[in-house]
Amino acid sequence: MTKFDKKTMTEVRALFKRYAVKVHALLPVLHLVQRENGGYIPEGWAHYVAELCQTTVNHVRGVITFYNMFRTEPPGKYHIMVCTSVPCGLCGGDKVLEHLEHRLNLAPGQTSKDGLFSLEEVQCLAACDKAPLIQINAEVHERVTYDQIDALIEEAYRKPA
Amino acid sequence: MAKEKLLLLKNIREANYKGDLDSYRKTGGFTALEKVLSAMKPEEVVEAVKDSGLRGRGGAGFPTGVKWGFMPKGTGKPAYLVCNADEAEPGTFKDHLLINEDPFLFLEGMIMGCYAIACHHGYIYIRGESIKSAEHLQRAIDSLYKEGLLGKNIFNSGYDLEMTLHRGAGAYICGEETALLESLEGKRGQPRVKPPFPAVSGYNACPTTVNNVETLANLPFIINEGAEAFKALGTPNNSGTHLVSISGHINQPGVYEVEMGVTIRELIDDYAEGVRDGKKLKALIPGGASSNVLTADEIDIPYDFDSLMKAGTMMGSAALMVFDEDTDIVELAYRTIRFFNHESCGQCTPCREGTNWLKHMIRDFMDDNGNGPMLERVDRVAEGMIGTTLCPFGDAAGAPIRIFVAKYAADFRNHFAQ
Amino acid sequence: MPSFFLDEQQIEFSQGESVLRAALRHGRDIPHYCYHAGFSVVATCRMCLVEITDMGNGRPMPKLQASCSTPAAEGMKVLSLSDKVRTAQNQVNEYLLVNHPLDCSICDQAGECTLQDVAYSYGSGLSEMNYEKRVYGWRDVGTYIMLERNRCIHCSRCERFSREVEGTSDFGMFLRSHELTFDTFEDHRIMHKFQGNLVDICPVGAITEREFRFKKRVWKLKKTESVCPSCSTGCNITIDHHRNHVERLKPRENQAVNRWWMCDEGRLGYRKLNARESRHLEPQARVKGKLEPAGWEAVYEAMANKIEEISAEGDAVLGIADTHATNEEMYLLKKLLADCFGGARAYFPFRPGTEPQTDRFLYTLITTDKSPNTQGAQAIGLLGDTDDTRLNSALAKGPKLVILLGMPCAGDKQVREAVSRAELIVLIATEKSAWDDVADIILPGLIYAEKAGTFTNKHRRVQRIQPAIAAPEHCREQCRIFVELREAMGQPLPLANARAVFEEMGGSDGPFGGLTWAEVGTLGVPLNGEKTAPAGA
Repeated sequence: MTKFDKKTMTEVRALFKRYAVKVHALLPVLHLVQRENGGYIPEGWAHYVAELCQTTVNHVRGVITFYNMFRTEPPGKYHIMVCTSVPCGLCGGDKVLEHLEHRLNLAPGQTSKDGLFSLEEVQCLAACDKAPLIQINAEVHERVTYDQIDALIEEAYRKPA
Repeated sequence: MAKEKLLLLKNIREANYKGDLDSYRKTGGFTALEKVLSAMKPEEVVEAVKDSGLRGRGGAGFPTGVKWGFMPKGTGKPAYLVCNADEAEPGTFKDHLLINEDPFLFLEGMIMGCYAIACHHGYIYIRGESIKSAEHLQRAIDSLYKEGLLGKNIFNSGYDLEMTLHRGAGAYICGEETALLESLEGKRGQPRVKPPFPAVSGYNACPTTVNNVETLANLPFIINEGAEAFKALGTPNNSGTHLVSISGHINQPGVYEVEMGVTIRELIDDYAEGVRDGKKLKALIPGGASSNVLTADEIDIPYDFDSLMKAGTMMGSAALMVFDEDTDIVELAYRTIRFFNHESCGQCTPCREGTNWLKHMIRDFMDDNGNGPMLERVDRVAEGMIGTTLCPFGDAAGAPIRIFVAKYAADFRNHFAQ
Repeated sequence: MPSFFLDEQQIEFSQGESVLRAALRHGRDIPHYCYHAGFSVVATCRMCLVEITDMGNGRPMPKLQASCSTPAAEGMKVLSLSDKVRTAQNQVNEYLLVNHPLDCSICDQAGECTLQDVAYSYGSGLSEMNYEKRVYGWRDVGTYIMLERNRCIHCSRCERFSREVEGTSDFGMFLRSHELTFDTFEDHRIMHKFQGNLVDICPVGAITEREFRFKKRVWKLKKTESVCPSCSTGCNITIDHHRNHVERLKPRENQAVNRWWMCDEGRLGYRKLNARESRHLEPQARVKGKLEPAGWEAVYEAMANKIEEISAEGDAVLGIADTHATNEEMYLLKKLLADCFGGARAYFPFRPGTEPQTDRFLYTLITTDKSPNTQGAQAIGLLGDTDDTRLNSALAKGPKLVILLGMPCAGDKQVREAVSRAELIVLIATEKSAWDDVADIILPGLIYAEKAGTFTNKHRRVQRIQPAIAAPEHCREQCRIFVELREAMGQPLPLANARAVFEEMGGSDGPFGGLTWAEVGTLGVPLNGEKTAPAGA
């Protein structure tokens, strides 16, 4: 349903109290939408959020499309972000991405058919000393090797969906 | 390894330091805050910070006390302090170290900063990707509320302060303070027209100061030990210590705390233990992706705001990126421009169109499809972005590309079409 | 007043005014795209860059500044033509062109396109961008407009207009960096009544008028300054025409009336201006119960004879004007009745409508009174009330002669029946209507685009219309009809044209007293001694 449940609404109301006006809470509210919807903002929610935050749907859509982290397509259960920026890209980030593309048979921006993995090429995860690094959902994996990556993928396949 | 001057990382470098509220207290935490709230007027805190010569650690290096002094009084509007924890400059990761391992240090500083500018609601803007750090920081804030160090009547001083952690959602440009304020107001992170400056019209059109995490983390020391003690560190005009993030082709990448005055060569060889695998240094970016590259011959200079400026580059967010002799500067330039193209907000013409055009051209070099006129065009297109945009992003994207071309033209020529 | 120097020219400014705004007010142009005085300043196109060699304190600004967002300061020295500025502007314009389709040859905007104009004065003529351009398709985004995003230069005027002026935020700003785009939400279609303004503010051909698409190259159009007659607001307009065919109506800036805007209903008024089937194209006289075409001289003579035969005056004669008539025409009708028919009187249907109650200025532009001159009729002293009480009691007295100016109360059967009992009914009208069945004589007049005159708008501001296109051959200006009729009746009134009539009105006491044709000018003036409400008040 295109609507927050009671529990989430309590969080939303608490959020509104932290800002001068409701619309200022738009980013945190959109984060909640993603949390409640498996990591993306499904169709129809922009209208709902606009009403909730007392703004226009174009404002909401403008914000959704501005920020990298707001998605309108469902990500995989494991959303894998690979930094290929300076300096990570020159410290192996690129090869890690290639390895993942090959291993998962996915291009950056794609989600696997079984919905398990999605791959994203990102810009800087603020841990450049630990290059190359990947982030799977909230978890950062530092100085990753191909073997570690393969192990993480195997583990993901083994876990029940 | 050369010895660090430990001021900000003192706790973190202790082997058993846990970073929770109790351990922070045991190291003398919150004594500065208690002193400020019980014995100092807000103006006195501002004066102390002015006297210390503390300069902002976010990139611009503007004196913090002076910045606070810009906050108008008696406007009838609430004042806000916003902590910029949107660390997203490639090569920079020092604020995250503070947030993850010793959050109460900068939080104590932030409470004092709020007090100094008569702010009763502070916001911390943390980058959206740092989900774990944000959770960790939220727990730290919650424990401050629980202990009465946030909320009503802190230390029975009658001073009230609310603090809200605001998560971004993935946009480098939100590190620019007016874009950050837009984002805090639930908008697209597009830098604002200045004037008015945030001190006059910032968050919700109220007087606002934006300070970096590391900047605020310096305050407990300044209050406890005095402005003079702070000034005694570093060099005149560059007082205190700096957290330098070192990454790239280096043996010991990481954050190092140093006094200003140390040379770049010392940072690389003595602190970070030299270029990886015994290779030679080819290029060095001294202040994050938006600073101009230095060649191996140019690194015998002190690492401070002014010396770097004189060398035609900048200290920025103190992010040193080291590249060894095998590095292809064309690839480095390509990654740099691709980053800036991806992160441009797109509102200004030069930045929106220039970064994209440059990306295409440098991609051509990557594909061995370059030529002489194209190289000249890269320089021309990059030049057109410098000094012509609303915020410094155009400079940040254009200038490094020009310098890559100027200093490493041979690398580009290697990619001319045969 | 404080002043600054723009390329050595001294320019006065008011406190807080930007360099660009002050410069534009003084007729100096600094090229710009995103700046529009009607909404907030974003300073993002970066075209209006200037060099500031002295901020007014002896120190220069190190970087070029956008003149739209730089407040002018006393003694400031600004260069807008220096090499540094020209180079930067040239570069900015090149950036704008790299993804532009350069399809001027099929673009409606060509000829009035800022991008094109600037490219002509700056560009090298060569494109050095050899990569694929951004491509989007045409989008049908509104009932009145079309969107071609390939041509968009991202000035964000449409987004700001929609959000700040119109209020629906129909246009949004989506994505970022080089993918930045301005569009409507998914398949949302713009429905509001002010879409044409989006076309006007778009500096390029990204937003175009549905009805004007591919119809005419704009450089062929002649522009005549006029006033929109579609409602009592009287938005200032230009009538854009070519070879006696009106192609479109465009708003003309008047801060005291419509600022920069007008509604789509007003714009669509152009259609009627080209219509011929619905018009009376020659004088007609009723012969044996049937209207027959007749020559002007014959009609005048017949009328004069009939009038003499009836020899009615006072309450036995009355005039009814509709509120589409100009001030001058109403004045002449009133004067004809008073001078030649022993103080007979002229009436009009008084339908002032209601002022829209809204805090959005734009929406105050559309009033329910769909005629341009209700206040004029009142000021001139025609008799009218909202339920036509006076007119009906005058008609109840059974007038023998009725002169109809325009098509007043054409839809009112009761009035029509009462009038039909008169012995002579003269109709001076432009269009066919129910009155045609009643009239004995029909004299074809001119529509507003064919004649000169003045209207008095809802805020009692007198504004001028001018002839833009030639009238059909056998139609005559209403003022001339009155003059010629009096000539035929042997009671001449030597007023050559509308201007002469207006000057006579200005020479008398009353609301028009003291006003001159020249003073009304292109922007109009309030009626004598009155203050019109400022726009938006």
